[in-house]
Amino acid sequence: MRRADIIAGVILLALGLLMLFVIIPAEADGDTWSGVSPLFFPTLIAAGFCLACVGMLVQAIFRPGSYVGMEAPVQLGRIGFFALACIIVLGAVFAIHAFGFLWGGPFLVAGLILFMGETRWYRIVPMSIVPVVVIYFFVTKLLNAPLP
Amino acid sequence: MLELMLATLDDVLTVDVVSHIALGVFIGYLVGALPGMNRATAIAVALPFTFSMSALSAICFLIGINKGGAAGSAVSAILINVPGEPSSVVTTIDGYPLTRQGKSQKALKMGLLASVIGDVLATITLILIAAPLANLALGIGPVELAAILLFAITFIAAVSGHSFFKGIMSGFLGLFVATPGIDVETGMPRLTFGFYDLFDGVPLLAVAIGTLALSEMLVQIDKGWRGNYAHSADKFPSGSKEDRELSLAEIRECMPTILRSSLIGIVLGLLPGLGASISSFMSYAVARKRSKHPELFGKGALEGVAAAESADNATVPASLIPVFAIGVPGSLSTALLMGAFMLHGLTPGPLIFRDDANIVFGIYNGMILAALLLFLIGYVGQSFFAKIIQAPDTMISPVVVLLCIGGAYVEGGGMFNVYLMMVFAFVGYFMKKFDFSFVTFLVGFILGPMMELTLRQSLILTDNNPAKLLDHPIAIVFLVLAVVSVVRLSSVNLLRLDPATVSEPTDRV
Repeated sequence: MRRADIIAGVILLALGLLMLFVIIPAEADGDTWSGVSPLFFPTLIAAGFCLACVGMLVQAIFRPGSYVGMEAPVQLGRIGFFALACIIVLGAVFAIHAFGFLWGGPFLVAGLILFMGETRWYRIVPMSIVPVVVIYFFVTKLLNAPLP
Repeated sequence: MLELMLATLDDVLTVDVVSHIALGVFIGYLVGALPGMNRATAIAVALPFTFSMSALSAICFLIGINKGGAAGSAVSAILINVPGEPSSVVTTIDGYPLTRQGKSQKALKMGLLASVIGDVLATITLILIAAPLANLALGIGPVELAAILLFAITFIAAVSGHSFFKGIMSGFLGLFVATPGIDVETGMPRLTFGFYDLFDGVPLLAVAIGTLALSEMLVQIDKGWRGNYAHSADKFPSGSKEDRELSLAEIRECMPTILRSSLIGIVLGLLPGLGASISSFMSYAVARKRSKHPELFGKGALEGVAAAESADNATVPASLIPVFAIGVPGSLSTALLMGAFMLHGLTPGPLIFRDDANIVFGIYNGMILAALLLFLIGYVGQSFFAKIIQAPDTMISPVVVLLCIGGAYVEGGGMFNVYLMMVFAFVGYFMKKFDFSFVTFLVGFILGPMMELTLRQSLILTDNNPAKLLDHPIAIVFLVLAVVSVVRLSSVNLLRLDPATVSEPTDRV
């Protein structure tokens, strides 16, 4: 956890500084008529964020005692597994975007059920069709809300 | 007050509102019972589906989910030794041994009874003190409010994680995510990166569903690395009739514990950041100390179950007191409920008693009704919920992911919201993995616009002159408390090496 915190602290501090000195000045107008500039609040928050990052880094580097008994938050093998799950979800979202909820939804559910290790077709097929149809008609007909 | 309660009773006792409350309690109970799911996730996913409901039905529906979730989490804790939520960890200590002794139904009934009593007592407290507190809060100006908000965020950051710095970083991140949109003073877009969809700010549902629900599902899917999704599917031993039924003598014996624990839950529920987990642990410790049979604790004491469950459920209505009185949420669920208020055109805070008194008192009636329905649904559906907890994760998580996508789309903004939700799901996943506090993040995000507005008003009112703060003694008190929190917690993190000296964290749902 300690090493992960150091890496996370450095990355987050870099992001905070990027926000503070590049993105906020570029994306917010500094002009004001009378009160406080629109830049003020985001700049204040980003500065506070950077300070907290420094605090976290100092704790991680100089106070290893506070990490006793803590496990590393991520393992390399697990990241690959997680990335694959994300690719399935993202792919299904693209499918929903392109073909609609009713056609893309079953791919999402079936993909995730398969990914999670279920191989019995009599479970996969109804579970990937029935909830999609029920949700679609519940939202579009009962709630009168749009779905892709 | 009583007149308003009676006047709004008609609004609540309609088929529309009662059916929504019952549905909310049922969904909450179901979600609470399922290991790995929690009530904040359920509220986040359900929020977009309330758009077609009236404000009263929608809020009562979501409060029903919250109450049902708090009570339902005892089911898996008692039956399979897997707490549905962190606050039910304590329930497993005595609940599961009771199951092993064939007394699972007795434990479930006691848990339900204690939950309902804790809930009703806390709801009555809410009704009695929220309005007077709101009256006091009406005297508060922007300077005081800015100081109170600052204190609330630092206090929640202080108690909601292992590291204060991570807590405060989460708060800053939440506040920062709230900054994009049209600037209130100049009307110019700020931090929108050219996306018109961000002109109204970052949508609440994309953030809430992404960071709470979808990221949680990714964590559940991630748990299956090297193939392990199964719960313990033990058969629950069934005892004699005497072992299944709760006797009057047992109820009488546990009643002082239930009342005492409810009081602890109410007091801790009032404070932002201190949650159901802490109150159930504390109630359990007090119950054990005051019990005539402390030796039974840990081996299957009904009092242990009663203490944990009554305290857990009492925090639910109690945590709404700061929302109604000053518009400050102290937990994930109340932050989401506050978001629901805003989505339905209500502004939580002291003015709600003036502007929307009918809805507030309607919600009070709805909360009492929800407690009664909680008892009914929990009692009648006991065997159904006991069966449902054995449903495999492989069937539940994919459907919840689908609901998340549908929910993010329904809010408006189309696929942009869905992609934004995906981004926040990744953020939420890594926040969970690296132990960053969700409570502080979401509270920061929801309070962000109010914090910016009050801060800007304060700077104008004081002419940027800190000496003028002396005219605002309440603000000074809260600023000092915020500074003390920051200095004290920073020094605890940076100077003391022994982690045992740092208090146990709570990530309140």
